[in-house]
Amino acid sequence: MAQERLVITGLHETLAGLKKFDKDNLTKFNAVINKELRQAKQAAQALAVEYAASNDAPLRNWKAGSQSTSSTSNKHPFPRWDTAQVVQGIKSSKAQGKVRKGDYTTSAGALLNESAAGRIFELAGRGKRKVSTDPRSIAFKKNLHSRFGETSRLIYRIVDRDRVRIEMAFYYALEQAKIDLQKALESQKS
Amino acid sequence: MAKGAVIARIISEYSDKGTKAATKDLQNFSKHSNTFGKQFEEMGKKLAKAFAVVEIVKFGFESIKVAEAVNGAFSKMNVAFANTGSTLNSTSPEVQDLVEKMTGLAFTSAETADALARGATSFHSAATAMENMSLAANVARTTGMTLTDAMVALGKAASGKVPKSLTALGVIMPKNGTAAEKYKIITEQLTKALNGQAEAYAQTHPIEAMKAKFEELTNSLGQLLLPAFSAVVKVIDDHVIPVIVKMFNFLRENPKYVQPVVDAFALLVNILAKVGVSILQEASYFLKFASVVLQVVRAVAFLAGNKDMEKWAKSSADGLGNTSKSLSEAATKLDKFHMTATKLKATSPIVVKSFSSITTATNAAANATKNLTKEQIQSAKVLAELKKMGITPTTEKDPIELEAARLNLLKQGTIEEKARIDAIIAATAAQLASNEATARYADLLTALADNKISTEEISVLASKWGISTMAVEEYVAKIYAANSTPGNDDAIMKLYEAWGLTKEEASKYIDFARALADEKLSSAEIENLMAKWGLTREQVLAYAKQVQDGIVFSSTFADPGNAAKQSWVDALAALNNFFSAYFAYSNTSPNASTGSSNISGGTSGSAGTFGGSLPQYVLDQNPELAAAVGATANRSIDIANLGSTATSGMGGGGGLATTNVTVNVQGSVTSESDLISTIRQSLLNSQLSGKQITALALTL
Repeated sequence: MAQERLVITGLHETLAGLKKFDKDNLTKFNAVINKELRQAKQAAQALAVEYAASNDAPLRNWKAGSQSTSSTSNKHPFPRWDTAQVVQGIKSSKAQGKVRKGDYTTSAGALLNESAAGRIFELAGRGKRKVSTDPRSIAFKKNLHSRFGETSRLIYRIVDRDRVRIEMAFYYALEQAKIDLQKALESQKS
Repeated sequence: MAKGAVIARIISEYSDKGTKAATKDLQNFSKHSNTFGKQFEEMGKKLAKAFAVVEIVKFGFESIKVAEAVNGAFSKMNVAFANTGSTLNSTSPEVQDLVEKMTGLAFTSAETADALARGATSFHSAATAMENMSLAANVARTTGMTLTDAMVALGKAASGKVPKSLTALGVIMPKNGTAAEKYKIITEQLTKALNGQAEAYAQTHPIEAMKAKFEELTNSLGQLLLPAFSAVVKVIDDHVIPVIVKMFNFLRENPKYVQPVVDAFALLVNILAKVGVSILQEASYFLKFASVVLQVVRAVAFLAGNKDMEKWAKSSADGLGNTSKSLSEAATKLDKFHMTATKLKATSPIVVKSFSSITTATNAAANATKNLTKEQIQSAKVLAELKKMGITPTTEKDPIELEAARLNLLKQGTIEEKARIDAIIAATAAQLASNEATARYADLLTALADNKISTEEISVLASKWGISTMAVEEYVAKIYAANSTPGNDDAIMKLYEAWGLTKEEASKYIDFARALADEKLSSAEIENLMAKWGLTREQVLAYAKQVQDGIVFSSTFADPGNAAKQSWVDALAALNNFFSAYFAYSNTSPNASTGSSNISGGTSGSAGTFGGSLPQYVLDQNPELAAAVGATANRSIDIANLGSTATSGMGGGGGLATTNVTVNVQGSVTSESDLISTIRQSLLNSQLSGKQITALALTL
């Protein structure tokens, strides 16, 4: 998982300024950001499809298809793997989100994994405190680990792979947008 | 966002949201902190308030700037106080209390210190200046002047001169008493009149008051940061720059050490971070250290001269600035420094690449120098061999001179080449012109094969040559005239006559065109022309110019319209001449008086006859005209001939004395203007259709 991060400043202020004073460059800037996020999202979605290609699910015994809603035996059944649902659940977001307590930063661009199956596939085996002793759980995690590696298997894998490139694209686009905004402000002032 | 979604953050941002969270933590910290002592607890409270309106990232730098300004003002005040023999200075409790009080009245420390310095000089006493500060504040707030100006005004009043700014406030200088007594009375007047103005201002201008308080806070923080900042600057000057210069030189010569050195540098910063955290924990100088590290990072970025690194450094500095907000979490601080160090390491490839570029450039320069040296040696060898062979060059040029000479030759060669190309272009242009002239001449010969040139042929030539028909006529005239000999003038005379010129005019034109065949007139030619045509020298030159210039052709879209307009003007002039001539004739002719009121004569009294259509007032004024028209209505005249005759100098009553015109208008006209309009329109229509302008063509 990512440990080193480039922290940008003034993204939302610049966006607000561009929206008000320079809509052309706002479009240009958004195009860069959206393109990067879209590419990352599509890469993660492609990964999910690829992993489930052989058995309609990442693991042979992971039931595939839509979740049954009429199950009475178990109120919280183990989520079935529905590739379409998992793919649909992988999204990109530019929302600020929560403030991270460690460094008081917020998110300016992120990938989301919203589906239950997708979340399990992404993070299974990560917890250190409450480790299940259920042999099925242990086998499940073991199989996932052996076939798909350690945790961070979907969106985090793409983020770790492409983060530096995306960060640089963000950074340069933002710096250019700041310059453009300054020019727009100066021209309006003059 | 769905609840419980896994979020993989790609881009992190410092934003207002984070600042608010940090401020909240800071306030909590100031409540619960027992580590940093009372001073920092107060500072924490102030910071928490200040951060609500000020960006924290910039705070450190602004603090230092303000502190410098305040220190400058207080330094000035201390000198002024010392000059008055006072023992007071900026550290004196009285002064500090006064400054704090003035801050409450929305005056900054710098303003107060400056006013005190000027007041001490004006009053020749530091204590008096301090005593008058409150009054000066009231004066300043009432008049809008600065605190310093108010203090100076009071100082002048103390010396016996009341400035206008105070008289405007109603101050009256007492006539009797010593200067001190007078000043006392003045201060009593002012105090009575202005008491409470400064307090009222501070209460009604909360932003100004807050600004002053914030500057005071900034100053307090800056005073903490300033020594460290100065120390860093000194360290950079004395140690960092020389070391880095040496290091760069070393790395330039030994590029293979670049990567290890940069890694080591990253490690150094990492260690500094760890050490810094220890210092924070022990000495509680959290903010001071944050600033120091921030400055070091920026300074390193500047010294590295790498813009990417500088940008990165700024980003790191922002990170550090934000970290300084979280005073309660030293561990987080340490992590951030680790992150900074790691980032520096991550940046090292860029630095290495930059150094590699420098090394490549250096190597290229060294190779070039080496090659130059080789060439010099080779040159020396060649010269020596030539000398052995008994060949001694007239002058021995060094390579630089030789290169200069070579470049000079190259330049000359370029100039010559350019001249040659220009000559070729000129020759080509001349050839093209000649070809065009030849082609035109051939066309002309073809057209004149029958010794005549018709309007159609001129139109064809104009179309082929891409010029107007008038230009073709002019061209033909020039060519023909210039090439004709005295023996074959007849043909061209006919040509010109066909174009409406008289024989005399044509002959004159030919003579001038022939003389101008070489595009200039000699003295002999001018004299000949003067003698032959009875002209003065000026007239010859003027006519020659006219011939030489030819007709000025315009290709603008307005030409047809202008031509039509001119034709109409000519036609109207001809008609007017006709009327004039006719009136002249009728006034002198005995028959003219035999008019008749019945003017419907002419062509059998038809409704459309000219006479019958004249308005009554014309008939009343010119009965002779009506009678004359009616009496001689049997003859028509070509309107075009009428115009040309009239405008060629033959107008006047004599020439047309026996000529009568009947103009038959199809339909009926009710006024003279209708008649004129009808004739004009008909003329224009004829012109536009290209027909010869005759009475028949005019459809009158």
